[in-house]
Amino acid sequence: MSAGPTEAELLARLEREVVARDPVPETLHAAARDAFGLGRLGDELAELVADSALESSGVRGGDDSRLLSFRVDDLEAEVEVSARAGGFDLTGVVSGPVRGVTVETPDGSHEVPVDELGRIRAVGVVGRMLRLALRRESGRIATTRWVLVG
Amino acid sequence: MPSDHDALGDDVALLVKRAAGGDQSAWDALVDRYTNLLWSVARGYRLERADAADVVQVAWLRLVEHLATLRDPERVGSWLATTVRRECLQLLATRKRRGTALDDDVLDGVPDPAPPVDTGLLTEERDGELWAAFGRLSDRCQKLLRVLMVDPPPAYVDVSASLDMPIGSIGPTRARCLERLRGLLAEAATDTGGNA
Repeated sequence: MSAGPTEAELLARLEREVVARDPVPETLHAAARDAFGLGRLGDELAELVADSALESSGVRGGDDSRLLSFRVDDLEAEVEVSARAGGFDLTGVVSGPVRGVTVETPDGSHEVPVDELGRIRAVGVVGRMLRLALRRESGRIATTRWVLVG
Repeated sequence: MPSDHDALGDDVALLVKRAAGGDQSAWDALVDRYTNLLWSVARGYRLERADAADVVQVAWLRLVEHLATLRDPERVGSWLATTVRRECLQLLATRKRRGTALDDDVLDGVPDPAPPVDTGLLTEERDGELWAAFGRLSDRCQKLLRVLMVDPPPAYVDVSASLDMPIGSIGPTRARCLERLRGLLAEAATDTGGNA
């Protein structure tokens, strides 16, 4: 029996194995580059203040849904996001001087009607990650952080 | 081996600053530097490939929002790795709650099908054993070795953030994991007649 491979040989062989068996998807670098174009410098950022996916948040969602609350100054959005094949449904309520709401994914944006009670609803949105853009009555926009729909 | 952080940190801080000013090429350089690391972190948590890709993309999307306000721009790699790690844990918790099965095909330690006996390709045979042995390592070892093998090599400070492991533990843990891997390979060689 031989003395076995050196540390360096072992790591080099292992590296080849990982690269061959679990390559980084070709689209991943492109998607990461494209993320830059989705930045909105100058928008207000609405912080995530509660998330049922975090046990510590004290909020509990259903097995298939996630409750999220975002807030910035006098704006607030509380939404329930339910994952479905290839996408998600979203319902919720916004409060504060909001004139319009857009559900954004890396691939596009969907204007969502806001009723007189501030309720919003979007069904069958395609994608696995989202953020909300809340348009103030003043025209200024507050965006939420990006959320991965589990 | 992980690279010297100080020199790298200056370069990286500059890239962050330029990207915050709207420079796409600086952003692209950050993407080239860290995407493979982030992928390894996510896969180390055994997320399936599609989930791992989503987690990595979300980390980049978040970074765009925080470029101008990062407290330590030279530690952007650690910021990204930590974001990925947290998203992985969150996604795993969600999956567990729903009882959704994870795709364990890559790192679950199940040996690959036996290679054809008449190929004569000893290297392939050996590396099948290597992969199987790697799959039998502890989670901690698999995660660490995956991250250490990333190209370009990550700074120790980023490895630490990737695994939530103190910097001082990285070297000794690496040595222990490699020793264990060598032991598993030796066992496999004994089992198969000692000629691997």
